[in-house]
Order: sequence, then structure tokens, then C-alpha cells
Amino acid sequence: MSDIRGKKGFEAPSHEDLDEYLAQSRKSISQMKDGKPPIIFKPKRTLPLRIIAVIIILVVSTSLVLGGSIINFDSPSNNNNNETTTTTPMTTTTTEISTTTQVVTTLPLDTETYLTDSIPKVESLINTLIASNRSLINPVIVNGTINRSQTITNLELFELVWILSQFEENSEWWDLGREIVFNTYNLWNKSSFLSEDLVFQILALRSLVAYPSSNIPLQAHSLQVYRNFSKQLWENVSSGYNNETGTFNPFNDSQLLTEHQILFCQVLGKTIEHPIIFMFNSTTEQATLLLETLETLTDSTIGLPHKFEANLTSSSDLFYSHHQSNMFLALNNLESLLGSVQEISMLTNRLYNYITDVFLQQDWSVAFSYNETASDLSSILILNDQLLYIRTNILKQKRNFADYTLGMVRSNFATANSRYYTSSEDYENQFLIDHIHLLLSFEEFLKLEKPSTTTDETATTTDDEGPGAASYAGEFISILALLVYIFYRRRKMKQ
Amino acid sequence: METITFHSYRGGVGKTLLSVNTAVKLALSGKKVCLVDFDLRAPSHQSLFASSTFSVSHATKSFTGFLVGDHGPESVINSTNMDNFHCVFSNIEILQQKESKIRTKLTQHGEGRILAKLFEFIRYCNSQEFDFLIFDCMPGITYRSLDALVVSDKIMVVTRPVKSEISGLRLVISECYSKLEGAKLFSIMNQVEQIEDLVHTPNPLDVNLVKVNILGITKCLEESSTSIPLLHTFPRIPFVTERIYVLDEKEHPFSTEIDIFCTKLLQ
Ligand SMILES: Nc1ncnc2c1ncn2[C@@H]1O[C@H](COP(=O)(O)OP(=O)(O)OP(=O)(O)O)[C@@H](O)[C@H]1O
Ligand SMILES: [Mg+2]
Repeated sequence: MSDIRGKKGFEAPSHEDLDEYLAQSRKSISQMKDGKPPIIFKPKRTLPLRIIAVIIILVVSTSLVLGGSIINFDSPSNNNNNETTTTTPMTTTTTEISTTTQVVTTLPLDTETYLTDSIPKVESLINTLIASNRSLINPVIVNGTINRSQTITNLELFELVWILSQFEENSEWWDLGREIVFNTYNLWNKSSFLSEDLVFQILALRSLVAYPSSNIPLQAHSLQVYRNFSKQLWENVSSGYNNETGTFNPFNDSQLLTEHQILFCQVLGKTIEHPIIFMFNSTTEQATLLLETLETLTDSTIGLPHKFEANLTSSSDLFYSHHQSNMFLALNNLESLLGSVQEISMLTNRLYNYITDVFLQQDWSVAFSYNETASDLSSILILNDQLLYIRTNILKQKRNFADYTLGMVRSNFATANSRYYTSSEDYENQFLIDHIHLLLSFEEFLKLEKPSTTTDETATTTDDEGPGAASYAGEFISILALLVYIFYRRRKMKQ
Repeated sequence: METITFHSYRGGVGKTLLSVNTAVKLALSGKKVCLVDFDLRAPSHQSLFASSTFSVSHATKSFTGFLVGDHGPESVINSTNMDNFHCVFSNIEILQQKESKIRTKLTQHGEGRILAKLFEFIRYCNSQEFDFLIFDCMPGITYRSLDALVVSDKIMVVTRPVKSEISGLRLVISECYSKLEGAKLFSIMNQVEQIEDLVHTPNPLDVNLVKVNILGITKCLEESSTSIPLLHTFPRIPFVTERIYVLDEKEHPFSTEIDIFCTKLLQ
């Protein structure tokens, strides 16, 4: 932050402008002290870039004409005609350039290579955690070694299926999730789930509908059982949903939780793919209502999800960046149901700005270390938050943020076997899930469009500012090159 | 009411840490204080407060929004669980989203409009009978830092004894501080290396360099055409992070330093 000029556009005055600005400021203040309106002082007119560009072009064209005539005169067969025509489009583009320039960030280019190398390693690690019959263990790390004895809980399975279902259709990992639901663990007919609490049930339902109905590998009879079971779950879950306020309150608690709205959102997002299980029309209504709730649950200026009293008065300012990211991803789900709705894009923008803001404010290596108990920000690094942020950026096509966060995640890997060292005991039982999530982020990242030039990203994100600095620089350089060329030719001619 | 701005030529010298802790300390000693995150470029107070035992009441808008005329001064001031301490946050959302005209107004010359807003804010705080209004400013000479400097009664020039700082300080004195009429200037030297309790023996060259740098800064301040007395020297304390020590860890050596600093400030 030591640079003075140019960062986020905060401009530094030139030497003379500074004196004038100070003088005018003082005058304005003393006027205001006397109860008069402030002075509006116009900046001293500096020669705008636009005019400079025009001048350059004039110079170029004159020299071309002059140079051309000399060249023509000396050697009629040369090809300077081409040069004259190339300046015409240049004139039009260059004069449109706005005076604002932007900082161009260069991207580390080795990420692809790194990911391509790492994916097999992470995959093989995951494979060691999955027995050959594709039943799972949930490893716990004790003193740095993996303890394989833990059996996996249903809640962990639900989480796992949700992540696995997001891999590319028909890929190995996608398939694994489907098998967990319909084969290895037969989650689709565990009627015992129906007596669990509503959060458990919505998580179960989310796993059951994670795969589109066309991809359910069940025979007619079983399929019917699956559908009835899902319908029953949905019915139960819906009882925690308030049709009037559009809120999901599974425990009929005095507090509404963001996580619960997100869960509901995720399930709603899957309804189109399961028209038989869900009554489609009513779910769209619910989605619309829920959207309002989500909006209420987010601060109107900063995009921060709150905890709310059930009557929607804010009660606590506790937050985690993964709430923002998760909500962002969930909204994306909702968008698939409702189409592109202005509220959604507004909300996603706000959320995105907020987490990016958090990310930029902090030392990036601890950007996502908010935690309820620690009194400072730098105590725990939460992989999950980072992964979610990577995926958020991928959705937003913000390649360099995703790239940077990946770099941080990457630094937490043991190089030998590419496994992530969970930094907190609380997260150790997340080991398998974390790695699969990590793999998903890696693969999603590789699907990101590669920037053709380094300026792509900055130029498109703030396109209201006109072309980026680099595109201007490019044109400037070509003009300069032309000038040099002409100068050179003329000298040569004169010799 | 006294308006104090913490400013520096370079970034990362400790303005935020010092201003936040000073503000809270002044409030602890009974003053009514309003602290403003005026680093519009890289605001940080909100997260800093979130990590403290402080509870900041919700619902208020960002200072940036006030500056561009979106809301009134009353709606940007957060109250806290400490009656006489209030804080004002900024965020960069407006910079990212607002149409470029507003952004330009905020980031560039601004035609005196942002200055007028700042003045309006000060006037409002005055009417609310604050004893201190403290701005944590963005580093360097930008139009916005000039705004903060011209409206202040006192300016805390924060420096750090590293080599590159000396020439920067000289520049900012001659270019800027010396032209500020009316404001009282003070300097703070922060993050001064301490030789005690070191686990390794430092290279004498480094030790000497630190001494030279401290001397350089001191000389630069002494030779300044305007008076910038050195109010306090803060040692570099290992493992100091972004926190409100004076509240959360009253016995921390940094808290002790702030106590001394505030006593001087109140004299
Ligand atoms: N006396 C000190 N001893 C040790 N560390 C310190 C000291 N003062 C500040 N720091 C640390 O230096 C870092 C930078 O401080 P801070 O963010 O307050 O600087 P700043 O001037 O506000 O920076 P910026 O210009 O970027 O806003 C922080 O991590 C802070 O904890
Ligand atoms: Mg700061």
C-alpha cells in the first residue's frame, strides 16, 4: 500500500495543483465556517489524454503524408499505402479512450501446470480413503498420520454427496456420489431419516435430489419408493417453512439462521430437475419468497448475512466468509429456477463485493480466518472458506482472485503426498470432504477460460471505464512504432 | 471538539493500529470519541472491530456512502457497547459499483464537494458534543488525504525508521505539511527496533542502520520548516497484530505505550 498514485484510482495532485487545491480548500472552509455554501472549485484543466491522442494522431498522419510523399517520390513501388489505411481505424478507436487508466495485474501462469500435476495426487489420496468396494472411511488425523478406523456418519455422507454431485456429469467422482446415494449406502430408502430433525431431513433430501431425475439408477419399483420417500421428506421439510414470511426455520427457533436459508435455497434450486417430487409451481413461489428473506438476511449496504430473530430483527453480528460464499453459490442455484432476476444479481454482487472487500482488506494469507472464538483474525486458516471463495470467483470469472486463493491453498499442502494439513482439530474429521472439495475447485478452475491477454479480466470487470490501460498502451505502442519506422525510413531515404 | 488525523507518507507504518487504539483509549478515559475509517482505498476498521470484544451496533451505513451523498451523517455513526465511543466504517463497494462519475468525484479532485461533506460531518460531530473526532487516513498525498489534513486541528504524522521513509518524509513535509496553515503537527515514530530480548545477535551493520535511520528521521523532523515535534516513540513489539489492545489486553506492552501516548496527547 505504499504506492501513492493509481491504486484504486485515488489520484494524487501534481505539485501546482496541490498548492491550488489547498488554497481553495482553506477558502472554502472559512466560507463554510461563516455559514456560507462551500466553494465548488474546478480542477485546473490539464491536457486530457484524448487531446494528446488526437495530437499524436495528427502528428502521425502528417508525418505519414510527408513521409509518404518523400517515399513515393523516391520509390513509387513501396507499400506505404497500407500504412496510411491502417491509421484510419486507429484514429477512431484512440480518440474514444477515456482518461482513466487501470492497474493491470499479471497472472501467475503456472497454476494450470500445478493443477494438472496435483489432481492425480489428490485423486490417489482420496482413493486410498475409499475402499475398493467404494465404501468410505472417514479418516481422522492423529499426530500427522491418518487413522482409518472411523466410520462415516450420515451427515458426512450428505455433505459428500452434495459436493460429488457438482463434478462434471458422468465423471468418476460424480458417479461416486450417485453410487453412495443409490447403491453403497442406499440413502434413498432409509425411512429412519424421517424421524430425524428437519435439518437432517433437508440434508438427506438435498442428497436425494442432487442428481437429476433422468440420472437416477433405479428400477420402476425402487424408483417409486425413492420418489415417495423424497416427497415425504419434502413434506416434512416444508413444515419448517413459513409461507407468509418466506423463511425456513426448522427448529421453530427464536433465531433464523443463514445456513438454514441457504440449505432451503439449495434444495429449491434442484426442484426443476425433479418435477414429480416437487410441485413445481408452488416451489417457484417459495423461491421468490425465500429470495426476499435472503435479501432481508443480508445487510443492505455490505452484503453480510446476519442472524435474525424470527421476527426478522437483527440480533448478532457474527459472520463467516463461507456464509457469504455459500449464499452466493446458492443464489446461483436459485437463478436456475427463477431465471435471471434483478434481486439475485444485486444480492450476488453485494455478497461478492463484501467477501472481496474482506479478502482485500486483510493480509491475503489470513483473509478467511474469521472465527467465532479467536479474538484476532489471524488464528485459523479455514480451507473450506478458501475453497468456497475460489469457486465464487470461478463463477464470477475472476480468474486472478481464484488464482491467488489457490496459491494460498496450495501452500498448505505437503509436497510429498499432496495432502492438506488441517490446521485445526475441529476440522480434522472433514479430511475426506475437504479433499474432494479441493479437487472440485481444482477441476472447476481448469475449466475457467484462459485469459487471452493479461488485460482481459480487468477490462471486462470495469468496462464502464473504457478500454484498459494495456489496450491503450498497445495502440500507443503501435503508433509509436509507426513513427519510429517512418523516421527511420526517412533518414534512410535522405542518406 | 478536536479533530485529529493520523497520516503518513508511506503505507503500513501503523496509522490504523495507533489511531484505533488511541481512540478507544481516549474513550476509556472518559472522552466522547468518534473514530472514522477514512482509508477509502483500503478500509479495515470493520473487520478489526469484528475481531474485538467490542460489540458494534448494527444498521449504520458506510462513510463512503455519506461522502457521495447517499445518506446523512447520523446514519453512518455506529454506536458501540461503550457509551462514549462511536465508530464510522468505510467500504469499497461504492468504488466498485457506482457509476464512474461518482467514483471520479470520490477518487479525484472532487471540486471541493467531498471536502464540504467532510466539513459537514465535522460540524455534525461538533453538535453531538464529541470531544475527539479521529480520522485514520489513507497514506500518501491524494486529494482525499489533503481533505482530511485541511479540516484537522491536529495531525499525527506517523513515521517508521526505515531508509526509504526519510526521503519520503522530507518530500511530504515540503510538499504538503509545510503548507497546512492552522493545523498543529506532531510526529510519531513507530515500530522502532528494540535490541533487548532478541533470540539472535543482530548484525552490527543492521543495528547501526537502524540507528542511522532513526537519526535521519529525527533530523528531517528537526530541520522541517514547520514545527513537527516528536510526541512519542513506539517500539516495535513482536507479534503485534491488528487488534484493540487497550480494550482486549490492557496489560499488553502496546497498551502501556498507548497509555503514555494518550497522556501526552491530553496535555
Ligand atoms: N509498534 C508496532 N510493533 C509491531 N507491529 C506493529 C506496530 N505498529 C504497527 N504494527 C503492525 O504493522 C502492520 C501495519 O500497521 P497498520 O495497518 O496499522 O498500518 P497503516 O499505516 O494503517 O497501513 P496502511 O497505510 O496500509 O493503512 C500491522 O500488522 C500492525 O499490527
Ligand atoms: Mg491503515
